[in-house]
Amino acid sequence: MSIILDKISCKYETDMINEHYALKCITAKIEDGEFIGVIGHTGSGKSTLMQILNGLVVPSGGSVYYNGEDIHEKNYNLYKLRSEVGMVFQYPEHQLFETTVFRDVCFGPKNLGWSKKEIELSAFEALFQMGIESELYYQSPFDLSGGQKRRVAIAGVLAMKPKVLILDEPAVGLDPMGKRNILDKIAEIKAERNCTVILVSHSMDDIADYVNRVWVLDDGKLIIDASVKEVFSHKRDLEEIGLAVPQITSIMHMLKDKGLVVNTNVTTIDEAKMEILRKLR
Amino acid sequence: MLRDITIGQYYPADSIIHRLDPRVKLFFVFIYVLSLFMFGNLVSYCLATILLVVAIYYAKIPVKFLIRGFKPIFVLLIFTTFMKLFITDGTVWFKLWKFTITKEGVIDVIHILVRILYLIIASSLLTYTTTPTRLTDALEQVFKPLNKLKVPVHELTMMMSIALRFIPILVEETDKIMKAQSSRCMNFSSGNILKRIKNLVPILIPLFVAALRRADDLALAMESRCYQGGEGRTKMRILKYKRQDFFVYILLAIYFVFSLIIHLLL
Amino acid sequence: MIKAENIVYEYIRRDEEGNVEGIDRVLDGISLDVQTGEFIAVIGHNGSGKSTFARNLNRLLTPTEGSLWIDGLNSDDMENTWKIRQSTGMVFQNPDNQIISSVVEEDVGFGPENMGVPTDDIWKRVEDALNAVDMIKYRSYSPNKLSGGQKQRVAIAGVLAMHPKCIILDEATAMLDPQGRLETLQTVKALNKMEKITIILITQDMEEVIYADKVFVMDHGKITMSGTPREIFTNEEALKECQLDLPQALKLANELRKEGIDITEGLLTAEELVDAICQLY
Repeated sequence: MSIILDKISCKYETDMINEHYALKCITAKIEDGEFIGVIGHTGSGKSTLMQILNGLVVPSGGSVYYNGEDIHEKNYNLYKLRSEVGMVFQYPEHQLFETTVFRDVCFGPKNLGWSKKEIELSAFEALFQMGIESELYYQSPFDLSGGQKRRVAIAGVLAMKPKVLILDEPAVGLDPMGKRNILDKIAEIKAERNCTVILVSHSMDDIADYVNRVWVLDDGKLIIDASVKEVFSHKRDLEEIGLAVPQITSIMHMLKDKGLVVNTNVTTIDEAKMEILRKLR
Repeated sequence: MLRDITIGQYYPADSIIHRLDPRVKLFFVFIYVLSLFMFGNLVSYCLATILLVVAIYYAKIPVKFLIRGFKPIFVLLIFTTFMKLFITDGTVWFKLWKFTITKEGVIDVIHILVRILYLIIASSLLTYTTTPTRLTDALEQVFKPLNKLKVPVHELTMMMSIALRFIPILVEETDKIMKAQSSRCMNFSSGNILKRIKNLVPILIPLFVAALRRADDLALAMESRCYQGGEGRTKMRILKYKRQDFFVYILLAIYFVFSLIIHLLL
Repeated sequence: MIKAENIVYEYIRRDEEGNVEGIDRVLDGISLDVQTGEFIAVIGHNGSGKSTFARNLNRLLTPTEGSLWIDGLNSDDMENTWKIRQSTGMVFQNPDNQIISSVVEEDVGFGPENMGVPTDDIWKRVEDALNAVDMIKYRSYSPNKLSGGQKQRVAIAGVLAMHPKCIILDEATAMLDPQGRLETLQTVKALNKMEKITIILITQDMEEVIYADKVFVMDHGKITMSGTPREIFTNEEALKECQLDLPQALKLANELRKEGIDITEGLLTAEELVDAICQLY
């Protein structure tokens, strides 16, 4: 079980006449159960890459193999792919349309032609895991608060029981607690369902807190593909392409610059605390 | 797919046509289209073609871009031509299986094709070379006299310019919603007509909700920037004719009169 | 500049037939005083009433009870509507939904046009405003071709061209990427410094609060805390109760303090934390 990207490139038109490449020769392999973070500034090709994984965008060069099968082969079942590789777009609440929350969550599974029992069971499970209170199940999704809508929309994708979950900035626009809540839920779900998660985010702090492996995209190229620690040790490279390291890491760098010999390869508050305590005591 | 629609868009370039007074361009398209439908003879079509080619040349619009704008209406165009070709009675030219093609049919089709194509090219040339704001300014100016008849000219033109501003945004939004629903395994292209119409619901409802949300936001933004209708409002751009504008008017007059004479003579 | 005394805003919920279903008190007795030239931040979680408060300041809404003076004008008086809206400009959350025109400079001129400013004067105002936000290069661009941060700067220019005394940013950075956020904040800071324009920054991002002279924390329609950012940040528990979070650097400082490390109270930025740690060493 894996996804292999083999020399993916993707043409893109900017102003109808000029063409440029949104993605250039991307090669990577995603193993089962990984938690991958994708970073890169706006326009670096993150969204296009995510849509390629889901079969929504057909790359102009290269191939995508899901479990060893080329997803752009003629007879390949894209519906099956999309159910197994679930995609949560930015502001997913904008896709809600049904009369009740529950019916909306059932939409995906229904399209897969499951039995009624299976559909409802799966929808319940997804809503429960996203922490939606049962009194909201039969309300209109449009009456919910922003954070609730977002969670319902994510449940709508979860209900299809995806083996790979792609989330494009799931926390954008929410307040601090809402952010934490959504990301914690995703981490929980990952642990419970043992699925692969790919998280696109602009927040280095979130990437540092949640994922194991990071892809850094710049101008359509995958320039770094490594563990969190490794990626954030390339402080200068990241800054060159307009990205930053997590705040905690940059604090460690500042301490080092001031002459305090600390290990800068630290990304979370706990690690930083231990490192500073080691130094001070 | 939706991105291919270029009709009604502005193509930024620095050309003589771009710099013309929008009212001139508006009149030009009006008279031009009028002439297409009034005079249906070979000579006037030739004249119209020359005029169009010259305009395209000076507007610096790439032909590739112009042609791409047709894509969405291409199917419609072919459909109407075929319908017309096979159902027009008259002198039979030849028979093709069950269909008869008549001389009148062919002539009619040529007329339709030339007229529709030229109409589209001319009007898209107008929007390609004129920013929506300039265009609405021109419309507002031209229709100003209707204000006396209690027609809310300013409000109508404001609506139009806002529509033009938001069309590309809503097109993108539609694209995004379609992708989001397809990633939830929605099947757009199966089933009978009824099923297909039902299939639109998951697209249309989010789209309406989005449009309403945007309208709401926009109304607030306009109000907070002191918008209170056309009254007491000044304009950033006051339309003023320049030399080249009069020149184009004269050219247009010559073209029209010439076509008229030929039409009367033939 | 702004003086609010016990203002209340009630939102009447109606059912489909228009009968009153209930009354929500969105603002519940807010009193505050803002001096000209101050940089104010208002923070609170989603639904805490901060946006409603912002709209009252612009007379898009008027208080149900209490009195509100803006620039010496009583907001109760219908006559003052246009003067108030001119003196307190507003920048909204979604960059796309507040740009009215299809060309940048024409959009900036929209406000002055509505105010009946003479044509030549409008052009001068537009140029000055675009220069002030460093967007003059893009004057003839279509807004659709700009990044999120650039669009927000255009929106700020649109407000500036009306020569306001105060600019209210209603979560204007929530939808932007880090780059756009930085651009917008820097622009606002510069306007506050150079032009002495009063800034009211409504936000849920604690990192943005650092720049403010004074912070108001809102929760359930009330102001629960107020003071300088330093004062606000010392009380982590109270912030948690308002569903807010400390910046990473200060969280680290608190963690270290819990371990018995003597770090000075009232820190604000990462740099200050670094200095404090270095002093101990």
